[in-house]
Amino acid sequence: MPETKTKRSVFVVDDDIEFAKSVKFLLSSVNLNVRLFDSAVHFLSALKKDDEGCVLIDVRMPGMSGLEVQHLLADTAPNLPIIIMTAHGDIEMAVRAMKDGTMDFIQKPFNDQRLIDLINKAMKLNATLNNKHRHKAKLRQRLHELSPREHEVLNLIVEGNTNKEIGYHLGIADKTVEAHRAKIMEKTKARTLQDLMKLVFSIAGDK
Amino acid sequence: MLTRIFLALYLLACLMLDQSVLAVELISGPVPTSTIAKEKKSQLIPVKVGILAFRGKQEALENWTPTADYLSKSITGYDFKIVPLSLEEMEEEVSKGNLEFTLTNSGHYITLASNYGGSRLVTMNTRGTSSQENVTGSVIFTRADRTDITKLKDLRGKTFMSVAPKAFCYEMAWQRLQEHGINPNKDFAKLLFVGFPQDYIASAVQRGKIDAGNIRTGLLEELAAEGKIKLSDFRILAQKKLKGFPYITSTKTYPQWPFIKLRHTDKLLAQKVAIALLSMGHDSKAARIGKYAGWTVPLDYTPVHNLFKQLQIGPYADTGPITASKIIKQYGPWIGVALVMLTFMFAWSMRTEVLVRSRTKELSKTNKELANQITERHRAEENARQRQAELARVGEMNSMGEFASGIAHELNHPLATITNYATGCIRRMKTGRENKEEMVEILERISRQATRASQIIGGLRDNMREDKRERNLININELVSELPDLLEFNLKNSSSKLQLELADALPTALVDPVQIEQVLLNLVGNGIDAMKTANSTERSIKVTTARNENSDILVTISDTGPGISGEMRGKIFYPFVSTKNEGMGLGLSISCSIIKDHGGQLWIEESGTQGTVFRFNLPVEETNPNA
Repeated sequence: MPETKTKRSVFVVDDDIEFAKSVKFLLSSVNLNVRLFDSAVHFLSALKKDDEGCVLIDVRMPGMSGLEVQHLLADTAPNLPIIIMTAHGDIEMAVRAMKDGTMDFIQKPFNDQRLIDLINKAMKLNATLNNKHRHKAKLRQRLHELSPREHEVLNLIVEGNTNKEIGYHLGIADKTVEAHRAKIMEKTKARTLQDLMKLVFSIAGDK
Repeated sequence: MLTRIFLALYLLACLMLDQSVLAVELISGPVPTSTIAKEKKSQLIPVKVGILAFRGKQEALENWTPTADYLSKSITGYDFKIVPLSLEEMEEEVSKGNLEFTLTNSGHYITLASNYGGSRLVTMNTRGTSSQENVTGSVIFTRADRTDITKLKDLRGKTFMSVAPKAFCYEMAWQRLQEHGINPNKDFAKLLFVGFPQDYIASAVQRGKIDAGNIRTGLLEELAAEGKIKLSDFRILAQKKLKGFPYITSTKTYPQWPFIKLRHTDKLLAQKVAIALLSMGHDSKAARIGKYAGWTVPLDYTPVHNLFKQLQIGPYADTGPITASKIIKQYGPWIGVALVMLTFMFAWSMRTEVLVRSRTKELSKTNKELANQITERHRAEENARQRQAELARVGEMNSMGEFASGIAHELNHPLATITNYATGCIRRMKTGRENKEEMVEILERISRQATRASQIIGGLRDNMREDKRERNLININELVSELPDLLEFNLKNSSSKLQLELADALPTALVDPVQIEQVLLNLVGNGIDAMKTANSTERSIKVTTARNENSDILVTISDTGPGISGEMRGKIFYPFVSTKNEGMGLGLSISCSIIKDHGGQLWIEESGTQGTVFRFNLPVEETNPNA
């Protein structure tokens, strides 16, 4: 089924709304879609699960700061890259933000080319992360299609058992194990045992 | 008991006024009675006090003359006279310098102060039903039976009456209407200004001559008490319930009328007036007849400034339609300054970027170990931020310091906004995507940001000009003793030690304590930074106070840092010269001018061995009674 293409946006969060508008004007000159928010709370409450793009947020704001938003997003929207905007003299803060997973930071006033390069980089990163995410979701879906018995067999395969051992373990004939195995390979679209192992391990790390 | 009250009042006055003069006055004792007896009525110096007559001139004269008499009685040698004036008359009298003092609404005060100078001495307490109030608001109302008008929005297309376009109670109502999407200048079928007194507005609404109107808070209740109206005849629009405020109101409250000292008025006289007014009882005869409840220390008038900013009136008036040539003509120099600063900032950001990159690389190596320390760092940074806020507050009071840091921080946003619009325009034009309407709108926005920037600078300049800071007799040891507390975080953070060696029985000096504290913080702070960046193994900084051969006070600040090279030594006091990566290079040049301003000198000593030694001297105030 083809994915519905949501429009990807740059989410600009800054309490100085005039400034935010100027960022929108600048970014729209290179055809970027921009959404403005004057506070972290407004941004977080408007953010939807399937929103794609990147976040450009001011490090100092009344209420929730850019750094706090970053911590929240790490859980709720890990695929959205964050670029922090700082004023001069906020170097320490910027360093901390980078350590905590911000993609990059940029000082106000911006060099426009650097801003646009950063945003493009963030958009690309978002696309990659989203693709990975979707790919994993697809693989997970395939595993879900296995029957309970096939799951049992798969677990034993992954543990390194031969058909004979599996048959003994489950109290079924080798031939039946063979049939299950073929079904598993078909459903997961794995061509070799290695493919199958890779698939299982690539998902095993996630919840 | 009486002496205690007097002492309390004196201390209160010292907070606001020139302490030194008061101190001298106290020492020299009261004026001998014989000189008072010699003074005749003809020798009295006349003092004119302007009063905004919002309920008619006759009434203002009757209400306020007892207050003038009270002042004449309290302050010997002067004869205080009340001059009732309308808003326009008052502006004219003030501009001609005909008044010594004036009493007017808070909005008018902002305009007067920005146009002609002047500062508030005290704020009036209004006579409340239950308590004394020192804030005021505005009431917007219609007839109770007008079912078509229940919300402010319903006023669109209706007729509206207020007192005067520049009356503060109208300005408060204006702001409230604007909040609800009503522009009084466009959205009313008719907007009538009927002048003072405001009583007429209430009766016009009551008799259905006009759909709605607004008056100051408290007046409806007064008129009801006088039996002229019934409160139940009116519907109050957008009514607000404010805690502790006893009147019906539709708006936020703002500080009450200030009693204003004008620019040319004698300072000593102003002090006496302030003391006399503050010592007036809440229920004294003058206050009762004037329909107020005494006076209090001047309130913060920033909310009034903000109101004016929102409405773009008074000192914040907009300049009308904008053209490109007008922008260049008006802001040419500022745009020039902005460009220079932008170049500077760009160079700066390049430099910091390199710095950050290298630091980030370094830090990522130790990332894992640091994970546990993050919460602790968070707390430390919170502390640092608080401490910095405290220091910033100290710094803010120094007008020069405020100017320097103010430029950097405040201008950043408008400049960044202008940069974005400008680069956005360039990109559109290069790709041939510009459209005329959009470009005009963007240029207007650029110009608005430039106005904002120039207002910021204007505000800073005003702060520097208005009321030079007062100096007090201070023992420098007291200021030095506060250093360990103020620098606690920096010392701990850099594991440096601060030693104080204070001379016994140091005489007092006439100084601005905030400025001198700033110099001390700057010099000691520099020392700490120097030792930290140079990774000195022994980090100790010493502040010594002593008297030199001319009996001046001599303060020495020495550290165990790397010292300053001979080449740098010659330039160190110039502005924008810094040995620090984060420094603006203004600290030492500001310190130097503060000390010079106090009649002393700041210099760097040839230390010979290691470390840096700064010294400054301050002249001793000879009239000091108890060293």
